[in-house]
Amino acid sequence: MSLLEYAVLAGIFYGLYFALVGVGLNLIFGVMRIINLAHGDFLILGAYGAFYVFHLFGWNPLWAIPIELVVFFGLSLPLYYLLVPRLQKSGDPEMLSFILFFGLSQVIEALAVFAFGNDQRSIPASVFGGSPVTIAGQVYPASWVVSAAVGMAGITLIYLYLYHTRIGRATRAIMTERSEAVVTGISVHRVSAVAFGIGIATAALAGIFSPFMIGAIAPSLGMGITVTSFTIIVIGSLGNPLGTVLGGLLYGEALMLMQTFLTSWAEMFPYALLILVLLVKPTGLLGKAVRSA
Amino acid sequence: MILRAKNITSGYEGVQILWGVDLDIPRGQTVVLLGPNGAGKTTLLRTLVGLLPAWSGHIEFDDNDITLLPTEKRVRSGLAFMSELGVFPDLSVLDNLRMGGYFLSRSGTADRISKMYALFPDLARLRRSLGGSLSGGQRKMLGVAKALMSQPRLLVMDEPSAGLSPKYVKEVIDILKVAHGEGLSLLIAEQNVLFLELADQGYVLEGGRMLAHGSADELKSSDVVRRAYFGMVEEKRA
Repeated sequence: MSLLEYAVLAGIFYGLYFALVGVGLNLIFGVMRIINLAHGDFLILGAYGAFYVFHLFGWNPLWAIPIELVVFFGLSLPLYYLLVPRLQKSGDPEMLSFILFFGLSQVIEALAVFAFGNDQRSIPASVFGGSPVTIAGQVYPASWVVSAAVGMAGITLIYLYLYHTRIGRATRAIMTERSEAVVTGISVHRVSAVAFGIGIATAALAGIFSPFMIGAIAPSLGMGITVTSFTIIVIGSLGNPLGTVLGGLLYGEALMLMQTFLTSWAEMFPYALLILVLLVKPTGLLGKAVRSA
Repeated sequence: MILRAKNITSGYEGVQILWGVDLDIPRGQTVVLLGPNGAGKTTLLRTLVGLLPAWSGHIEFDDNDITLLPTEKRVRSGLAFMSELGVFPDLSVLDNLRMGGYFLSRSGTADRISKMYALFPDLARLRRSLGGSLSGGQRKMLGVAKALMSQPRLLVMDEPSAGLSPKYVKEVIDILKVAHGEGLSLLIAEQNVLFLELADQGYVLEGGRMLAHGSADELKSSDVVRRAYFGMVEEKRA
């Protein structure tokens, strides 16, 4: 019984973290109807940021949070204006975005190999204090608890943004009916650019904790993380950023239960789950159809 | 004239729909644009608000040439557009109104919202409901209120009666009387000739060309309109 309890609680920590991993991808899809296949690569860049903050300056990786939020948000604004308006003028932006962001993913990966090398890097989990945390009689690494807390904080901020700010409401307006937003006089590109920036900044934010939650970092891991994120947001419903929380929790639970009880199957698990969800309920668990294909 | 469109041609991806259309809307007047399905009414409205580029011709709004202005700027200069959908279905009534006043100041938005609640008390009662959960008539009311939020000088409407039962059509006509009482000009594209009741003038569009233009009374008694539309409306009701 206590093994099950352990796995379930661990699933919640992982779930909150994985909600943060997926939410940016979902926000960008919801607002712009484009699939950011470079999502995982931005996450890996965020992880390298934390690595260097720790190894070069000896700072706690938490210091990477404000730095990376500013840097990644700032860099993604010009990237938006460079790529997205052009994409959306095409006949099939969704399909074209696959190709274009796949290319971007390859470029980021190549540059990362060039800059950081191919070696796997890690950050010792002891940076968050050596002693594990006891919750409900079970013992967990402090890094899991910190990652889950940051995940929850990130999701809460995105919720507050979407439901309690003017620009956030406009973001939801664009998500629900883009053409109606245009004729309402909303500056669709400005609002979308901010959503794009938030999407990429949260990917980098999740990356800061990936050395503890996902494993050692290397430039080639981006695509796998994109697939994981995609699985999470498909479970929780494409285009519904807050559905990502449900997707993340289910994914975290399933992953922890697999790792605890069926360890050798856990590797292929995200892919199997993605296929299963697409077969059974392609619109996601909270789903409304957001695309027609 | 609040709006003046001269010799407009337009269409979609190489398919020409409009073939040299003229349309004038005098200040403060209500103009109804009649025409059957596929006549090009929506194409004309979308061109007027800039969702489609005009292939040739000129559009003047309030004596300024707006032919090349993006939609967002046209809306901000006082040309409001209410699409057939008209509302954001996933947003609450209150958030829909807030979006209608997106480019107003914070206090300006609050003032306009209370003004809209005074004009349409139903909306105050429904302010937490989602736009998509409203009845057909309520949804048009919200659409009009959302469009009026920005205090436009001209409100362009695409088929406000589309998909509504005759009872709701009456309701919408009453809503538009309220809107017109706000002192703005209206352009209403419709298939339903009942809307001539609201109008000072009417235009009849067919096959992408203006077939007739005149005062509402002239059009009501015109043979062209009678044959084409009164007949059709009667049939639909039967």
